Amino acid sequence: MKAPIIICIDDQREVLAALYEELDSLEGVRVLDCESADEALELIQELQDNGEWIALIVCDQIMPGTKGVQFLSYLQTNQVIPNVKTVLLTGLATHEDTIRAINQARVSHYIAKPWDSVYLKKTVRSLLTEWIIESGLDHQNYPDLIDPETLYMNISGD
Amino acid sequence: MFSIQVNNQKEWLKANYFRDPNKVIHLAADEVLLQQGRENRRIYLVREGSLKGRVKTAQQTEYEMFMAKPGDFVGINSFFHPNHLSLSTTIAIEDCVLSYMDEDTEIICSPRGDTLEQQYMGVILEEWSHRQFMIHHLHKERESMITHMMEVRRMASLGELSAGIAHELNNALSVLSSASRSIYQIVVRYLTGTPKRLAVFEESFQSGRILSSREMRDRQKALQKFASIDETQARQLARTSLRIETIEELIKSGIGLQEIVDTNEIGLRLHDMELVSKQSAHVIQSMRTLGAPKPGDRKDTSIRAVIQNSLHLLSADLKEITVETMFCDPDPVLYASPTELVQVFVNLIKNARDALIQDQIKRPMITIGMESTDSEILISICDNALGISAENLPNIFSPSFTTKKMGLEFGLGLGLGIVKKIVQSYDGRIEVESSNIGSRFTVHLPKKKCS
Repeated sequence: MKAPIIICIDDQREVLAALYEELDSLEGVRVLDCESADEALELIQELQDNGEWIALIVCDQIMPGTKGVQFLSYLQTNQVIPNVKTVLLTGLATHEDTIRAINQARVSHYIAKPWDSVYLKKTVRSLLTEWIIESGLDHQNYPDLIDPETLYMNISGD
Repeated sequence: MFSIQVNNQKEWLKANYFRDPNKVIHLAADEVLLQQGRENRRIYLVREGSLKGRVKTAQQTEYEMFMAKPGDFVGINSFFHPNHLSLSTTIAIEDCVLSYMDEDTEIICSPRGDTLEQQYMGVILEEWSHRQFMIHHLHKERESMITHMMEVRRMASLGELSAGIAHELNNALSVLSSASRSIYQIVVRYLTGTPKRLAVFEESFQSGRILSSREMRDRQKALQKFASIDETQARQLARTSLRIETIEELIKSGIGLQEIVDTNEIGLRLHDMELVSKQSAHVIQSMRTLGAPKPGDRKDTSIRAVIQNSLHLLSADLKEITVETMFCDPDPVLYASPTELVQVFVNLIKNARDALIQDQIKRPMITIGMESTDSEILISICDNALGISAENLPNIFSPSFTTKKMGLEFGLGLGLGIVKKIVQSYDGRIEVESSNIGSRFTVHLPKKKCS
């Protein structure tokens, strides 16, 4: 079974490393990290060429060059990765940023820095579960990843 | 036209109705002519001295509604009003002489009409528009005063708030910093028996996160060619701060890879803790200078000493950089806060240093020049880095603008914003020139007489 991929984007290396370690501790996923939106875009291209599955993008807002919301809006508008889940992770977002994050970038979740480790992992598992269901994959193949609560809600909703 | 007609009419009124030598009164300073809310059946003409009209509102606040000088009329409103009640209390500012007319005064036919109301109409209208203008003016004045007061209060509370936050956070940071120091020492003690692991730990603790995410992925690809390790191991090893040759040797010797990865991780994590506590302390420091100004700090300050202090504070950062100073003689002295000036130059010099490091200049150099003219002191900081792009140049002084990529350096990009704010508080300015062979920041500080 191919492991779903999570891409983390943050321009601050120490923060990126902390985020990486946090998510890398989840079983059954592959975590990749990038220091800018441009780098992430290149990586996404490369992964898609290799037929990999990108399930989730966790992105910082304040970065030199392309800002988080701008990048996530681009992905959404151009449908770069169908079904992908997105999380905006930020210590500082203006009111406008937040509105754009919801309306244009359609972020799946918004998490404030400093993040709470338990909450972050729970959110990520829940989003991955949704991704697995929406991608038409068999959840029984991802026993370590599935968030039972999300699974129950999605299945009973059908 | 209107005002000429009114003036003519005024003169006509004065000449015709205020001639009676028996209808003259004298007032001493502070004596009350009319009381607000009391009946008045006279129109007064001020001959000598001046009076003011004060109004007390329902909320018991008082304001000045008009002032009357020689040639002005007083009491017209209440005279003509059906209830004859005064709108304001009119008080003599100085000794006054007034003539008056009352209901007994004989009404004379005038070019402007037969009734007294018609004759006074122009004067009344002029009086009201004048009062309206005065109220508008008062309102504007009060508005700008309120804005100013709110600004002062905002800055004061920002100062207080930041002092409170700074205290709490600095406490927390001391704990963090001392804890990471202590763990570092314990780990060193634990590892003295295993020199190879100690070297890995020291290396990762000192160097920190030197690899970019791209470099780490490339390293992983290079390491995956080894059949003896799996993908996870390749990824973990690629993320260490060890040189690729060292990793390859380790793989070949096939010993304790996990231990090496873990030791490296401990070193990196401790490095991060030290780094962020230092940077957070700096952010707090920057935030505090945004608070209320401390004018009490100002004294005669040697500019040379300010520059030398700034360089001293930055000595650790400037190790690899040649710094040349060209001081002028005699040393200029400015009435200023040394703390604020040091803040200005620490920021400017550190910016130059960061640009030199970021642009990887081979022979990095900072030149600090000084010049003293009759009217101002000029201090320039030049570097030989690659300059500021035309696109970024207009933004460099705005808060939260930063181009810095390495870690959390200089916090929120408050650096130049603070510099500008401080320099402006001395009525000074900063000029920036930048090209692809370097940047020059020139600070102009006007010399002022000590106040």
